[in-house]
Amino acid sequence: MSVAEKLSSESTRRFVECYDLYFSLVFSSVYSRVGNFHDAEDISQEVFLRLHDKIEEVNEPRKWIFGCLKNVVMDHYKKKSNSDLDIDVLLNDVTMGYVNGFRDARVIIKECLDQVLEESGYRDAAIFELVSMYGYTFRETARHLNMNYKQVIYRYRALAAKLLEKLRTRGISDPGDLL
Amino acid sequence: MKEKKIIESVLVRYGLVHRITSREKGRIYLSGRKGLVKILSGKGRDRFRIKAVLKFYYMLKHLGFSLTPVSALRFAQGMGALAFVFIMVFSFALYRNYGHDSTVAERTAGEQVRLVSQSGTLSRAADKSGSLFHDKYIREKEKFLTGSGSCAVMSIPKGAVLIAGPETLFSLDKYSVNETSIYIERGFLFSRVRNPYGAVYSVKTSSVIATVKGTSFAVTAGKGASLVEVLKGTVTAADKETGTVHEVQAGFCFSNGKVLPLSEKRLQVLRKLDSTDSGDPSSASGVVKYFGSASGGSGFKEALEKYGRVDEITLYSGRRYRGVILSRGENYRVMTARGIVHIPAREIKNTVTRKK
Repeated sequence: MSVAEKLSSESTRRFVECYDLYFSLVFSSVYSRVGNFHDAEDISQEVFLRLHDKIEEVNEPRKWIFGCLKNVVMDHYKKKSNSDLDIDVLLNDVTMGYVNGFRDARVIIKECLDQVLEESGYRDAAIFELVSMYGYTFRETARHLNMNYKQVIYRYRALAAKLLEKLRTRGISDPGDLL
Repeated sequence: MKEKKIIESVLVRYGLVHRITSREKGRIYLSGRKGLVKILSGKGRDRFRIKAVLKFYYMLKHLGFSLTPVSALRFAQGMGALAFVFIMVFSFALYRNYGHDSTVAERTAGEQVRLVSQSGTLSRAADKSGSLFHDKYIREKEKFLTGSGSCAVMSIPKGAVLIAGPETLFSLDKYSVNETSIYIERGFLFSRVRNPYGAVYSVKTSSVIATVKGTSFAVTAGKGASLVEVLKGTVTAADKETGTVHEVQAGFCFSNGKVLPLSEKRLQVLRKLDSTDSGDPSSASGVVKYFGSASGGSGFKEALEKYGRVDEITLYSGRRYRGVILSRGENYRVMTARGIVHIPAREIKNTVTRKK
């Protein structure tokens, strides 16, 4: 298959789109918890390699990627049997965005966050997570997601307003009270 | 931004933030780019091409273009084709320029006009004993002299061929990208100018400036009088004495402020000179025979020997010429010590012939 044929297929176009959107997010998510750059690199690449093979069957890329991430992390650390990391803790933590469990303010915040992220588009969610949860600047986010700097600011603002509104509906009228 | 600060503070407070350093973010970005190439190329041999296409794709994305990898590939292919055409066109133009005009290289080396061929001697006026030889370069402002019965063929990189007749004292007055100027103190110089770049080419004598842009013509210089003969094209002849400028067409000559037709015999001689091969080292030997009838300087003595007489021509204006009348008719063609002069018959008051 020639390069043109390979790149012109619909599956490749969709894969590149997903890759651009989620690679930095997945990598940051794994790396922030694993703490080892090479492990995080291997895990992220494995996730996207699997996505590449299954892209035609995947309907919800975000859910699929984070679901696959659990399996890949498990496989990775099974191979490295001498690792000191607690896989259960790691799994819960890595996919924390999709796990419930606490009944304090943190749970409320997380629930609101999850709801807002689910309700918003994939791109908006990726922007919000990179900026708020992994400390990316707007400029860095724009670079990683191949977006315009002003677009990133605009989308982040819209999502932040939604989150504050969601917290208000849950009884937290002033987020400053949580501090 | 107010809401950003509040949200960040809340998320930090509840341990939901995992900060990554700027350096690590840069590494993540690069790792992402490498990983995509690896995944898309797989085990294929197209890795280099895919890498190039993706680099181009991301570059265009950062520039604000909204496209897919395959459209980036098409764009790159189009740009490549355009670049190829551009390079080919310019290479061809450079190649053509090199053939006609190697001015830059020549000037860098200080080497300008090359002596192609000589018959007899061609020496520097300051050092008559030191003859120049084939393939030597002639530099600006240096005066050169051809010997009696000698001639020299020279080529100018800017597309001109010069043929200096016997006893011709000349110098390359100016040689630049835009202008080539040759000064003749005495003697005969034939120029064949092929000048596709519009640079000015001029031959100067003490009394006339002949300027051309691509033609074949000859200039003969004597003491106070000059003759400009045009074989092809048009020559602008400026008379220094009167300040008048004349357009001399092919087949005409300019002498004493007048434009007159050239005889067929004369045109034939000039045609022979015009057909000289500038690349042939033996070309001078082939053309030297024409100078008996081409230039005035040495031709005068030969004419005196041949005709055994001296003609004195007096004009109505009071001006006098002393030489040998070569032909009569509407215009008299007179060989003088200063070169060949064409005089309209109606201006001649009388002629006196003295046997030698």
